[in-house]
Amino acid sequence: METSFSRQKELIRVDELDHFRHFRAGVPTASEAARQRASVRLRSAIAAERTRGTSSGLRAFGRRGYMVVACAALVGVSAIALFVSAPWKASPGFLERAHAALAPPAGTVLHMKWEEGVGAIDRTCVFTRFGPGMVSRGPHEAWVDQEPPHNWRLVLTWVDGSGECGPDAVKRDEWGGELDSGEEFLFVPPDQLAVWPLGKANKPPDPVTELRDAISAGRAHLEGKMQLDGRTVERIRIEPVRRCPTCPLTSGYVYVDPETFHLVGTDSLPVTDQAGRTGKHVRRYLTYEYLPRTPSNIALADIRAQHPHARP
Amino acid sequence: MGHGKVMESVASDAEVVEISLREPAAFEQIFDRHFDVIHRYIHRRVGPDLADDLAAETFALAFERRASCRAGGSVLPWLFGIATNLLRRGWRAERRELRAYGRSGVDQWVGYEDEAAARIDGASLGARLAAALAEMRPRERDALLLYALAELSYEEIAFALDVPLGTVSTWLHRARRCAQSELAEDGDVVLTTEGVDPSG
Repeated sequence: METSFSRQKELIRVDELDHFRHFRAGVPTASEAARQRASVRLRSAIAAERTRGTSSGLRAFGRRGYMVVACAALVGVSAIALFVSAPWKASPGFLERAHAALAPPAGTVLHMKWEEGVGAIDRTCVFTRFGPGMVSRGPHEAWVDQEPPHNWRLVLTWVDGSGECGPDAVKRDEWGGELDSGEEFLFVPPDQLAVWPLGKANKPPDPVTELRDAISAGRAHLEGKMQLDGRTVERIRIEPVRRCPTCPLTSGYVYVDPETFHLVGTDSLPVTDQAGRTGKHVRRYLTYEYLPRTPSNIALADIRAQHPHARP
Repeated sequence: MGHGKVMESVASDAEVVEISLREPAAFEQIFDRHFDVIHRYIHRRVGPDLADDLAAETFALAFERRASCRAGGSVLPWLFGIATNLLRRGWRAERRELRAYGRSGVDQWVGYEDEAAARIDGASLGARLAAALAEMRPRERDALLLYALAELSYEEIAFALDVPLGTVSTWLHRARRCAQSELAEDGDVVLTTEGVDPSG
């Protein structure tokens, strides 16, 4: 800043840049509504990280003796893979529209149902639904109330490690809790809600938030149309990102409907765990919808309401 | 928001971020401390509607990237950097709007009560500042507005944009030259304060 003085008056040659300090200085502060929406957005990101950190069925799988390959992939399952990124400039129109269209509407209950496949070495019970070497699980089903305290309920369907692949081998786990408080339960038939250690429960995946975050961050890249399970989808690649210092560096693909942007599926790229085993994780969404927040739909996301007589 | 039980308010931003690596909800403290100032910065650049979205995205992204945060005290420069990177995607629209403001003298984000008021403002400094900003290169504009609106130092701008200090100096030098040509008549500001004489 240049400054000069005279005896009669103070003459200040103001740095041109300082003029800009007054540019639109009169704008109002953020509205309470904007603050609330941003707060919800942040909490959603926090909840998504929790979800990723406790990737669903893996632990259940492991407990039943499966040699799940790619622990990292599993962990990543939720976290992962999916969401990718890529420069907006490569495909600005579609990704921008997808980002907007995928915004979770308030006052709804998210309902999703999906199948998944996990690469395994000990393929005691291998199905071909996702190709050779993939263990399939599901369909799983989850409900997430979009209003505080964000109740959620997750029903996991898996095959135990007994070697039997028939209907008798299919087991179900039912989890539930609140995202805001972190409270988590496992329903233990016939009438117990077992309190689960904080952050250790299986939780529903949150692929839409992951995808929207990747688009916002410029990590999503539109690769174009392709056929997936007999339908035309847009494939979006998510570039590698490390979510935390110890998280696996992974990437993957998200598939969405070209017209509605509805989520169709996700694939991780093959990941090698510390034992050198390689595997990947795929999800195919049979249902991904936002239900009106009616009492009955709210109850679907509330594990206590589903088991009113169960006690911790 | 506010998970104040986790820590006392005396914890620095950097300490809060570190705690949030173990207790993610602690990051809401960062939101509570800095949302308004980040929102205001974005609002002054691209208007209220985009500000709502981009400010929210700034904190969500900051949360996800917190493990790589290198801030030693305040995380504001880091947050401004994230916000500025988000703004960069819409630099063309920002430039368009600045040019329109510069030409018409009407700032679409200001609620003029009547047309006369709008015309008066058209002759004001605001429109000329907008015209000057529109002529700058995006990175120069970013650096200038981080300096002027966010009130960051050169060092903090370098940190926010992850560029060398010399680069920031160069960008601001170019921004200054651009502003000089647009604001030539406003370059000298005379303050009629009496009796100030450093020579005694």
